[in-house]
Amino acid sequence: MAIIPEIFEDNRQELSAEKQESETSFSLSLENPIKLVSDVNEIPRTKPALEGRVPFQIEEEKLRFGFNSQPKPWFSPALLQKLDKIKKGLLKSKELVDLIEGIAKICADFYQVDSGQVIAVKFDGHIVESADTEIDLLLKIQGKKFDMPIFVWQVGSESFSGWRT
Amino acid sequence: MTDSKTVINKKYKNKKAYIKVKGAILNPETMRQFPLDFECRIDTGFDGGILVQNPYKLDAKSIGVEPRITNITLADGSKIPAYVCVAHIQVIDTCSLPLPGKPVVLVMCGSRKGELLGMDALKYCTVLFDGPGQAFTMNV
Repeated sequence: MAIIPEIFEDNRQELSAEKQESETSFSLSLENPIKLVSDVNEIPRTKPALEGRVPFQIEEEKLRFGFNSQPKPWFSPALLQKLDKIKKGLLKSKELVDLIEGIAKICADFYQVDSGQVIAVKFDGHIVESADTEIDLLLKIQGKKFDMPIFVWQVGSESFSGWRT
Repeated sequence: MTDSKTVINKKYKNKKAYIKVKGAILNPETMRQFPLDFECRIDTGFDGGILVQNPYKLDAKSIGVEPRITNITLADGSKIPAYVCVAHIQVIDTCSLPLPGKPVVLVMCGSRKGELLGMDALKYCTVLFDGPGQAFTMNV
């Protein structure tokens, strides 16, 4: 057996008022009958909203989806410690070798650089230039100034040059 | 390199192949150059161009060329940091190459004298080693 809720007098009045309103709005729309247009020139013209401006021009900032700078690879605390040391000039030769190798490998994975490519990398992990050969890369970066020191690296190799097998 | 090949015949010195190489580190923007003049040992196990001592880094900087740091592998397999930049080989023994010369990777590391001429420089010529005769022939 279902329980039918009792409608009090106040509620009944509200419901009837709502019904009247809906009927009124419907009747108002009927007061403006639809007029069939037989001539194209009768269609009212509206002024373009973006007159004098180039429409659909999206600013470059908006395309970045919230990034103020390009994303860069994440470094482990050990690498960050070495970077801190290099700033203070306390890094030993072996640690520098490890630091360069560590950054280069993370960077090559992060940017998915093909094996064999030669890259120039900033110590914050950004690749600033790449080339197919060592000579091409060195010629490209020879006269360029960067905001921080860079190193060069051959992806997929243990070192840039030397007595490699 | 000209079409006509220059043939250089040399005898070994102390059981090793040495050859005179002249060139320069060039700054293409200012056209300044630092001359290089060595008697290099030919080392086919070294895949760089020319190996020189670390102080050449300062000479490169003096003409506005910034050598870049990298890792290189030594003959014993260990790795050390070194500086690299481009140098141009202009003369090999008696053979002059058209200016500005052939670009090679100049590797700067260590302080021991004894320049090496590696495979990156030898790619511009043909070298034939005569072990029993203690001599070599180079076609440039």
